[in-house]
Amino acid sequence: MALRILTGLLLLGFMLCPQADVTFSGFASVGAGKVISKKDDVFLSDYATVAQYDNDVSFSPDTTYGLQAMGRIDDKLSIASQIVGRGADEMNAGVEWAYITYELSPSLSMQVGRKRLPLYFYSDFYDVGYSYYWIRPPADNYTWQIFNYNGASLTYKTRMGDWGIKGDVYGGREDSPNNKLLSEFFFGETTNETWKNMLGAVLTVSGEMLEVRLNYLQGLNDRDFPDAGSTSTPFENYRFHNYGMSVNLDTGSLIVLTEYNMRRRHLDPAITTWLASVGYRMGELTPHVTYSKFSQEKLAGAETENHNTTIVGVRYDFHPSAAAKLQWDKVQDEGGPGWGVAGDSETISAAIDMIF
Amino acid sequence: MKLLFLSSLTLLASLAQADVAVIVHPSNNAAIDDAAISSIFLGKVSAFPDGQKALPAVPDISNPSRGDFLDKIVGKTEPQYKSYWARLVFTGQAQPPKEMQDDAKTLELIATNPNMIGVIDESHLNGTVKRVK
Repeated sequence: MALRILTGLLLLGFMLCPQADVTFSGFASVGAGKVISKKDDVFLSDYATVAQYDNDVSFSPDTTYGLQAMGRIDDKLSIASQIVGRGADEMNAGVEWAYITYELSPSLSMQVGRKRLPLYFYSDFYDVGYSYYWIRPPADNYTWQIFNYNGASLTYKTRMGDWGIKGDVYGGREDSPNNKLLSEFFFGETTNETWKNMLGAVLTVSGEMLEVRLNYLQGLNDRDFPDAGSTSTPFENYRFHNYGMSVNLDTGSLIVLTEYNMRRRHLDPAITTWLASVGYRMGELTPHVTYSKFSQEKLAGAETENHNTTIVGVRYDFHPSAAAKLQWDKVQDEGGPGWGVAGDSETISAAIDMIF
Repeated sequence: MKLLFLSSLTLLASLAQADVAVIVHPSNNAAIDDAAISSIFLGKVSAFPDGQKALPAVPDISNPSRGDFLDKIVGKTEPQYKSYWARLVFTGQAQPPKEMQDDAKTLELIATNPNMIGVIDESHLNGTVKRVK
């Protein structure tokens, strides 16, 4: 509802302010891939949208497009809207970003509306394949069922010598009736998911070669199974905490990327995810290798979810605004009995990412 | 004849060494050093060191100064620069710099707006703007 009101406001703003300076931009990725390991193996390449590869060549998991309109009303006020369509959703476009930015000062700005939940390092620009070297960030680290939110954020930007410092604080909630990942993949029945009372902070420090990002998010989780005869256990107000840290180095040729996240919810076993990646830029070619891992602590010997992914790939900048990519993903699913996610798999995929 | 020859040589040398100049409005008295300049062109800050709002304008891909701007001011290649800005623009973190095809237009923009900072070929410099690099 809030989203519909905001989108309406945005359109109204564009119509009522013919003097507003409106710019359009966009991104697109066309990808294809195929599982090359055993028949019936499945590669869950994006948890949130349940994008999966199997033994047949498919274009849907890594094909995405986004269109952004940004309107400047005056020096302080601007409105932006971004629609994103994904192959995994039959290319149906949805408004994933719609927000108003108000500059309280040149260093401090406020945004109100719908945005991406900045839970992980690549969360905000996950859809913009052109901005990183993989075809998609390692799936083990991005097993999130909620990835957008409605709310407000404050951003402060400053500088200490060569170091840029950015601090964000944000709050909001997201209601996801019939949540895709939980309903279609994990529970096999309608699952309504709500993350509410969310409060988070992100601190980013970036120098010429080094970037460090710290983040924290807390909130309350409600889960409900409305289907008649459901035997799943609903819950309300389970408190969750997420902590994350990324340290990335880019010397111009050598690239080292790391990310670590820990999340806890209520009395559930804690989940730890991490990735480490090394790339080397040689002119237009950037070969890279990555290892990522998802592990859940074992409480009283109970089985839990555990998996890892090894990635070898290359990015080729064949055009000033487009890159071609090729990559191999090997997933090892080490979850205990009944705790496997998608099983072991090896997948080859290729994509072209562009911005315009 | 000799003089003409010499001056042509000088002209050739200056063409080969043509450098980019970073320019601001003449009234801008902020202490703008190299770190401040690259931070503004990379969207890390949106203000000059004196706290006034900073709006960057850069040579676009068809402008001959593009290469020198990328190499000497922000230290990135074209794909690195575009990847970097894609990350900021599509996540609402910063407004992208205005892309300028023509240095004459950049000069005009900077000369009339105290919040702007731009990059042109230094051979196009004139008295309507102030050079900071």
